[in-house]
Amino acid sequence: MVNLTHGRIIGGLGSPHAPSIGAAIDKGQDQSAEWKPLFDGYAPIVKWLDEKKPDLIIMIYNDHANTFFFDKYPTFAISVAAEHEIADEGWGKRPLEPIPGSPEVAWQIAHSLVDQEFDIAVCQEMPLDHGCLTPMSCFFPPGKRWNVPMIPVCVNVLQPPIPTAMRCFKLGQAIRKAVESYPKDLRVVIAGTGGLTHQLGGERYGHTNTDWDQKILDLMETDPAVLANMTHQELMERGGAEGVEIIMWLVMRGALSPKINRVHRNYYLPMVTGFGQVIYEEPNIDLLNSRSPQSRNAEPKVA
Amino acid sequence: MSKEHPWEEGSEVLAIESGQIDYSKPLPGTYLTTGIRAQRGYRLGKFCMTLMAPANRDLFKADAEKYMGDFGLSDYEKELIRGKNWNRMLRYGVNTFMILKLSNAMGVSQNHTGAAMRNQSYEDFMATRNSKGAQ
Repeated sequence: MVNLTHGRIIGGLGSPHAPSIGAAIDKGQDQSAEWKPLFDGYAPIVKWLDEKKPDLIIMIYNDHANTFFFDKYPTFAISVAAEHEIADEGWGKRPLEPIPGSPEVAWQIAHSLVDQEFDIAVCQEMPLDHGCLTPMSCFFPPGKRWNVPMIPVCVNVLQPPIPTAMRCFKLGQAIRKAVESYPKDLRVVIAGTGGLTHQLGGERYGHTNTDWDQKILDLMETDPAVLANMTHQELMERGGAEGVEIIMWLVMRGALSPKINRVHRNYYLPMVTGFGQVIYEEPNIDLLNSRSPQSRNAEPKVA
Repeated sequence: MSKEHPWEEGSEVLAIESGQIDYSKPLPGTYLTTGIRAQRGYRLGKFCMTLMAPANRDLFKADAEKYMGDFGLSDYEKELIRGKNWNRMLRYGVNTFMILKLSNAMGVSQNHTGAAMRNQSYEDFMATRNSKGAQ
């Protein structure tokens, strides 16, 4: 009898990571008129995580010159740390406990990715900035921190040459294989963070594009190859220089099945960034969902 | 200003061949930090990074000229800071997120920085936003 136990991706999340969102939480403004439309969009994600009880979150994010500086700058980096410190970005640390990692799984993923020719930088110390902290503190409100360990995967979107959209999509596919190569039962959620449209520098500061934001959310769900085939110039023309961050959503999407079940989608544009939130479930999530022996037995067996 | 001037302000159009970005047709109002621009902006970016430490912010606030001099900034770089000329810093080659550490240490909020980059007053910029309270 073959033991089929291994890691599996059960779904994907999409989230903005703007620091203003974290500040709204810390100042207790999340139910204010200006912020409620965003935080209402997190409620289904919090509930979904409560119900699905994943063992691990893989967070695709970018650092904003807090952990990494241009003296040495990785295109892709993964943390194998057991614990992640909260970075001080220059205005004080957020009042959050360090976030647990998952070294055993992270090393497995690092090996599998490099075997698959994704030569990712491996980090033993990786303090986290708002790119990671904003989504984590929204997914896990007070009282739920930190219910689930997290492996952060950092993508260079700050200094060209940055990886192509297609490369990011393929990284997601490789992460799926890496998770499936883990030889123990492990149910994993992958989150893509950032954007959607925004630009934070130059005379074009504040550029946003709601039509394009909605199109991104449509394509991400049903036809991500269209996005993956776009150049950075095309993404920046439509969505602003920092709008290129959606390549991190493409990592998440690449890790999922071609056809997914979208169970949540929210959009809000208050200030300078189009905020999108999604939940994508794997089509066979019912089999992957429960930890009961019955449902395990329902999985296909190999003789 | 000095013989460093051509290096410090030249090279606006980057001679980089890329399948991803057409550097001969830069997006208006957009300054990507790569190539020669990133090279010349490196020192000033590194300076901005020192301001993440509270003790350094205190030193900078107490005596900006001394702090800039001790770090070894050029006259041109000091002038960019004194003038709070964020767009010229971007063109020079400093990444947006590093500039935000500097502007924060100078007591200027992100959206005040953004309004200045747009050559607008803060009030005029905020009038273009949907929900001013969410920042």
